[in-house]
Amino acid sequence: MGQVIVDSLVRGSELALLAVGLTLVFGVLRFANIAQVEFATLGAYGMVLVASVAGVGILLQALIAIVAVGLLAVAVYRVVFVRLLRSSAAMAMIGSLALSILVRAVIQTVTGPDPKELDLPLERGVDIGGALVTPTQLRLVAISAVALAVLIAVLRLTPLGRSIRAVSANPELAAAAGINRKRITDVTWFIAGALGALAGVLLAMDTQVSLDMGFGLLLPVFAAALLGGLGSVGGAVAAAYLLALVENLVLKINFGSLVGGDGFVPVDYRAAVGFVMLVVVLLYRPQGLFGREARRA
Amino acid sequence: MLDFLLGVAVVAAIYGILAISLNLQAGATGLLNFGLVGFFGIGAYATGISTMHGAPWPLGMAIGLVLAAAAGAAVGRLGRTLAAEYWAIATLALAELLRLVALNTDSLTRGPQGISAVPGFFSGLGPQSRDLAWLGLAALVLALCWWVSQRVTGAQFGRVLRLVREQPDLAASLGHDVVGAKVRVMAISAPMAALAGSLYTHYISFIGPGQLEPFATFLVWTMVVVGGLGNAFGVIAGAAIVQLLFDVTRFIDDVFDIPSENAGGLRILVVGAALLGFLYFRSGGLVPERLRRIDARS
Repeated sequence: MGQVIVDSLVRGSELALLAVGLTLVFGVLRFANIAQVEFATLGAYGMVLVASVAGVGILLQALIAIVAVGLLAVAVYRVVFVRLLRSSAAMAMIGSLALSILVRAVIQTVTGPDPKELDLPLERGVDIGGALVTPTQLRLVAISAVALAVLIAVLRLTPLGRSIRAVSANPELAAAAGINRKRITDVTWFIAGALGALAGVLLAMDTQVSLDMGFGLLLPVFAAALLGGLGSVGGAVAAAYLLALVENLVLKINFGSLVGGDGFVPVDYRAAVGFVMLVVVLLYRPQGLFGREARRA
Repeated sequence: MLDFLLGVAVVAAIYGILAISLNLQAGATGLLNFGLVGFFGIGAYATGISTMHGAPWPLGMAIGLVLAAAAGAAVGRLGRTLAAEYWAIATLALAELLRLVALNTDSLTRGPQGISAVPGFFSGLGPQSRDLAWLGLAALVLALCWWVSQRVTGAQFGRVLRLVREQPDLAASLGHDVVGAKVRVMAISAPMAALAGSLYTHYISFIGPGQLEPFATFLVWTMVVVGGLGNAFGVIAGAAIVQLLFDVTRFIDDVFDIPSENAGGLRILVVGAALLGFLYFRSGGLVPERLRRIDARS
């Protein structure tokens, strides 16, 4: 059971960082950015790139990659999505799918399809209540928790956060109240890009750097954002950890014992848990578990 | 060279069927189907599995069509509660679910290695005349699907679909059955994709989970957007152009000095750039949809 909790915290942290970015951008622009998960891929490859050209410590590598991806996200919004959103949210969504494929295609063209490892020292796992945890995983969970807590504090307590929430709640009213919507949207994209890159960097430290590391998270991340109610940051965080827990529980529970035998859900179906939860929630509660907005969002 | 172009033409015609199917959903009705490859997969695996057990090919094809129609109607019903963007994600999730099942139920689908040695048509002919016959068959099916698509969009039902696309609330307020329209258009278009899947499986004698990757859906989207979302003639042209582009770039590593596994990325890049470029600079596509000014009457 301890292992389930540890695994869920690690997975939930990654999902939460990405789902929060997705939900923030959706709140401000009413458009679901499929390319959000590629910020993770870009962050991880960005770190590999920084490590290969500059002799700086691992912390600085990560920081440079995260800030660079954040700025890239703003640029992509300004150059691509401002124009596509003028046609419609649907066009922007198709465009974000194209962008997601393009990002991976560019990386594959430049560095090839093989996964890469970050140059990190080997670690010994520690035993916490019967669960095996590496120090990297502990750091991953702690750093994500701090990042998410800071984000929520900024959104709740600062004038900037109030402006972001105002724009998501009612763009016209926010503009009428003198909030600079363009600046707020830029800031939102920066946060989405930077948190996505942070997820990528942490994932790369825990496992490896690969082309599909972002796209493979697409459906669980969307599931978490939708479960939380698109636009709701707290909801996305809660839903991400909940989804991770359900994923790990489903794989651990012996369903065969119900009919007097052994029958586990094969581990290959991990991704399916998210899909099924996603489809069921979309069917019965399209506004999400914690969302207020109904049907058309 | 001729053999190569013939092969491209056959696959382009099969993809043209997929493009017609997607165009009915996305172009005419505004349904963002990001899981089109799922319906393709239903047709392909129905053919693969039934011929593997010795069933005659028409039976496999028919099973695929019926299953796809039922699945299409069910997915269309999801549109009852879901806004367009949510529906798009749900279709992507369902197609991925299907791919996972295909990958992991070895007893039914032979898992990752896929089903090979699916019987092809025209096996008595030589290689070149065989491909010519295939081209004729694929073009015939494509023409049939095009005709059905024209019938659907040209009739009053087509006007309702366009109204559902542009103004769903207005359509509902005029007394049109919005969900019913979505269900029907999915039930008509999904079997087309299944038919394409079945033909493709017979043509290359193989179906595996690798062919159900989301990239296939993405390729069809590129064809539809390049050709002109909403224009059935345009999307067929788009299918031909994009398929040619995708196959010609196969030789890209002969021209440029890059490793072949990196060149695979370059091929995808070309397709992605085409899609994004058209969305950006010419969102109507090469042959934009023509709309009459007075289009909707109940």
